Amino acid sequence: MGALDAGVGVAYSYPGTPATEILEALARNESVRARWTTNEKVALENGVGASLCGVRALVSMKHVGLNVAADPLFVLAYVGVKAGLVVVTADDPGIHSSQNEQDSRHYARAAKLPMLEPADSGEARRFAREAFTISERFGTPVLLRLTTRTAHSRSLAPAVSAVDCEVPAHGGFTPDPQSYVMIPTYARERHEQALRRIDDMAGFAEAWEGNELTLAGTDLGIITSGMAYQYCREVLPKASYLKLGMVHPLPRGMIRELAVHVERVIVVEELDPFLETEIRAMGIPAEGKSLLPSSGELNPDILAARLRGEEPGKTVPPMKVSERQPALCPGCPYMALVLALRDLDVVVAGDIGCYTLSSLPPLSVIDTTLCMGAGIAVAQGMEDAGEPEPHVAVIGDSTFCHAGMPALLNAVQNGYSTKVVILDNQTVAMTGLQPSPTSGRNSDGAPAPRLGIAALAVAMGVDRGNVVELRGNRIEELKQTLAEQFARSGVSVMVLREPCLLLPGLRKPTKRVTVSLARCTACGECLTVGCPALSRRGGVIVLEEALCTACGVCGQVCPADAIEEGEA
Amino acid sequence: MTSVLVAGTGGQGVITASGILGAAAACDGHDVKLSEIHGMSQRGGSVFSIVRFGERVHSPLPMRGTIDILVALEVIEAVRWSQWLSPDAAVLVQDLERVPPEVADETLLHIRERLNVMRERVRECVLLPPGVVRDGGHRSNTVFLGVLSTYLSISGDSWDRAFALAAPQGTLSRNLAAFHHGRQLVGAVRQET
Repeated sequence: MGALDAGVGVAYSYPGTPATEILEALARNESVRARWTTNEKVALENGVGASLCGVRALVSMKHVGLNVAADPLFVLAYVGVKAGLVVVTADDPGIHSSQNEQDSRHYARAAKLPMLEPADSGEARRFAREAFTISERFGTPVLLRLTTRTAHSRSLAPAVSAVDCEVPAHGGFTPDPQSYVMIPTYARERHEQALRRIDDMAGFAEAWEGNELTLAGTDLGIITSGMAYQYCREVLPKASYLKLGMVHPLPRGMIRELAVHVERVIVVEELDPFLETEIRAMGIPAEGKSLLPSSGELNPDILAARLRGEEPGKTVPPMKVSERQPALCPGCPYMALVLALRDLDVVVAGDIGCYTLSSLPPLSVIDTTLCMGAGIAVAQGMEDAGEPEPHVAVIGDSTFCHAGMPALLNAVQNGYSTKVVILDNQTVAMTGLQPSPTSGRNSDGAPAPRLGIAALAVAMGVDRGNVVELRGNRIEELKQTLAEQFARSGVSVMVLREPCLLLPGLRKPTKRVTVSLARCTACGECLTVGCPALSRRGGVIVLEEALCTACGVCGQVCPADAIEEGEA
Repeated sequence: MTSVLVAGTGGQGVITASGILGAAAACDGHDVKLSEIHGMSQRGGSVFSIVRFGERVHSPLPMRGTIDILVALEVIEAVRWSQWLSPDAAVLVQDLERVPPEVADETLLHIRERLNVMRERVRECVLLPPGVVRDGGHRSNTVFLGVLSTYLSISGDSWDRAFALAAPQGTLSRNLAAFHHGRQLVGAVRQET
């Protein structure tokens, strides 16, 4: 909303929880050109192009996406912006759906960029709009940091008056190589300018309304930002507060003003002691991580326990309920391939996508998952370390396009025997079915060329006989093809092309699958498929028809032939 | 301040329902905060959403033992939240079990025991069979919003506006019918408990 208020012209993003909804919301508005890009680096670079030509740009991503965009981000701090450019990063404290819980605030200090952190939806709207003004005033990209909790919570976000929404006219591209071409002679001067700019912004931070100093009780002063502020207000309403809306650079004057007013200063922040370290470096004996955890989310109960010395209500004994393990959807087109890999009992370097879930029991097929596109390259390192063949990597289509291509090219160029299995379901599935380069549609909904991964592999130099397209979900057939390729030397690329069954417009199942109680011995082999539609209750195997999509994979593993396919 | 927790499994419409509740509270003039975690809901996971409303709401997350009303579309998800309930809480549960494949039989027995323990601890527990809830082809999430509405002082007008604002396109009349079905259900059930 804030970006719309600011008259943003373009928005670029790669899907990633909890940031995905940002572009989805902007895409619903016709005044913005909103695009899914192949990865976050491209997204940020797209944004730079627009900004240097006078159009306000919003680039959004999850925290690990910022890692991908870090190369342009750091240099952009020297280049600067023309029209406002705002980079939204959504961190994931508590690791709800990521590989780590890095604290992206460090990027602000490292890259010498200002960073705003809203504490609720209303502030997100205000700060996003103001970020563009700040960006233009100081000629710098502005980082806006969310966390899963701020991104996935909702609160009232009042509309803004039209006056506050005026967009200055910038004109188009004006050559300025000293700013835009970062060769060493220019870059040295731009660094000096970046250092001066971040100093100037510290002065701006002192007067900025987003930083709120509330002097109340003199016992305790709390310095905090983001959602942590809301938890603090719930638990310690009488304290004095410095609520930081800008976490870099810091308003040192306001910090000192608070410190002088109270007996004790506590810095409340999730993850790293980012604020605490800088505040203590000012000579203020603030406490923080001596009291609070550096991992996971904070919440009111933790603050009450650690800061008020209260134990959570002991009157209610805990009732442990098992967590629901995430699983592949019933009928997932990759289930059969995953089971084939399991039968072949190979070490698999995996990647990021729905198939990552097959690392969990009962499937336990994926052995490593690091980051986007890593599997293909990790498998190469394993080969160099002398690990026995085959060296298998599994990756999805969108992840392959995001980061896997250079790794495949490396495999061919450096003569590896990597066996690359590419799961092409023609969408970015895990994040909600955004288009991928194999979808045949782009983010505008218009037709786009479908990337032919098999053809690309051949063009990269993979032997034609080592490139196969797999179809269907017959475990034995897939096993045979995989085994045959695994036995070959050189790089192999095996592409399974089956659309994600959640894609709209796909045919409904015409079959029906039932368990024949007469033949079923309740051995539980079907349960090892991990399908949510199958469970054991009262010693009997139960198939929940509401969840079953009649894919028939369970029937393929049943040793008693007790799973029958019939007409719907 | 009132804290309502809506829980269920992926696909049951927990997030949609909580969004409508949040909109109703906002239309009724309250400050509202709503928090949901849905990273894995599409893959069969637990989904929950907390809606807090009152004069001024800071934290979208309440403290343990302060949830006033739990609306659970599934039994295991109901039991999962028992520690968070206030002793004065009302619990509205759909008597449906979505059993994860990795759960053993004994666990199911424990779930029933735990459900009974939870019922003892709170002020009121309403357990509705899915057949009754969905009688007429209604979606359980909206029916439960109807049940919930009889426990809250949010005006009918605010609910109407909320549905118009937040219900998915083309579902308005179906949703209102389900909502009213839920409201009627409670009268009958509350007399029994």
